[in-house]
Amino acid sequence: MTGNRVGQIVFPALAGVLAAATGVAGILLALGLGLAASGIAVAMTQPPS
Amino acid sequence: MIEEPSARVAPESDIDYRLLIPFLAHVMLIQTLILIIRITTSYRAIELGLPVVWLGIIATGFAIIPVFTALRVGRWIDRGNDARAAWLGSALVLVACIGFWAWPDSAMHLLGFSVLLGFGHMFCMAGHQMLAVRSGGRRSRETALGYYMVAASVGQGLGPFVVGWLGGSAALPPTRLLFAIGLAAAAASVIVAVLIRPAALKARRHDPGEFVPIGKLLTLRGFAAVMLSSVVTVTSLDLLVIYLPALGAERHIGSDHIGLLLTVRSLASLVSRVFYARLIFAIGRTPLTLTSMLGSAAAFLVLALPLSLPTMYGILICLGFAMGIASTLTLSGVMHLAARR
Repeated sequence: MTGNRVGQIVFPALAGVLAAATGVAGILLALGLGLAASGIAVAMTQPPS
Repeated sequence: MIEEPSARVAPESDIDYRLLIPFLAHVMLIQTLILIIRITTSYRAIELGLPVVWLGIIATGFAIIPVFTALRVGRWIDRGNDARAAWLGSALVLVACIGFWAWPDSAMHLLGFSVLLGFGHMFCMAGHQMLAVRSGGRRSRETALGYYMVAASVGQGLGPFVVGWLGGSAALPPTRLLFAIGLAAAAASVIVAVLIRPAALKARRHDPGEFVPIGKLLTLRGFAAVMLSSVVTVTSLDLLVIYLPALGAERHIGSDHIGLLLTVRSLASLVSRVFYARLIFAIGRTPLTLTSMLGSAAAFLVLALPLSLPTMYGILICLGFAMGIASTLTLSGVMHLAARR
């Protein structure tokens, strides 16, 4: 829960700055890239089950 | 080796329905009103003519106190204070809703009440997770957790639906009325919370071996990546709720469609969880995590394009389905790896 709340502070703050510069579409692009990167990171680091 | 849960013959239920029913009602009320208030806050910020950067600042305010208090609150709840957490959380949420309804006059007011709302929401969320476990007993824990997930999803769908329904085709919904509905739901949640009976307080000392420091968990192979992906997933859903109204304002989409788009997203997530167990056995945890996260990513990237409204509905259904799987997988992935430790 702490991790999620840290994310809920950092990402909206960054998103606000990004939105001011690029509009809402910029946030959607950033979220898409963030999700793709973290998904790939999980796939590359998981121990064999 | 840690085995995935499997669907075998259901054992005899030991669910405590006198606890479960008010608990599920409370979950639904809290989720509904939180969604109503957060979407309405975005619309109110647009109505006040605030720069879009304020949506980010207000969203940050929602999580600011929990960052510093969540661990302590979690340990307090572990000592048998789950019902008390629901009572306290409901009271804080009620005070915040009174503020939103009575004084939604400036950026600072919206920020201040969001901070209070987030603090109350943290107590409710943490309390709910423990109540789900307690209401299920030993044999029916998975069933109770399933009911909890469904109640939360229904609330997350109902909140945007109310906003869309009352907003109609207007670009901005009636924010004062929506704050009043949020306040009524918060008052109801306080009444329902009182019906949730507390557990007997635990006086036992915890075995120091039960607690694993976060630093140690982060050294586990793959833990940091799963933890980060869980944070990114939860935050992405949060930002979608906050910024879809702003996207609607930019693209001249009525608030009824914005509400319905978020409702459709939530329903798709609910449906995806029905298939969750089958998918994880068929595909495997890691490939399914990658697929669902790449699917969610693709949906966000496409949503950034100027799309027709029917296409947006289609994308939100795909996004809801993929995110429903991804959010459950990353959350359970954290527990899966921690359990290995």
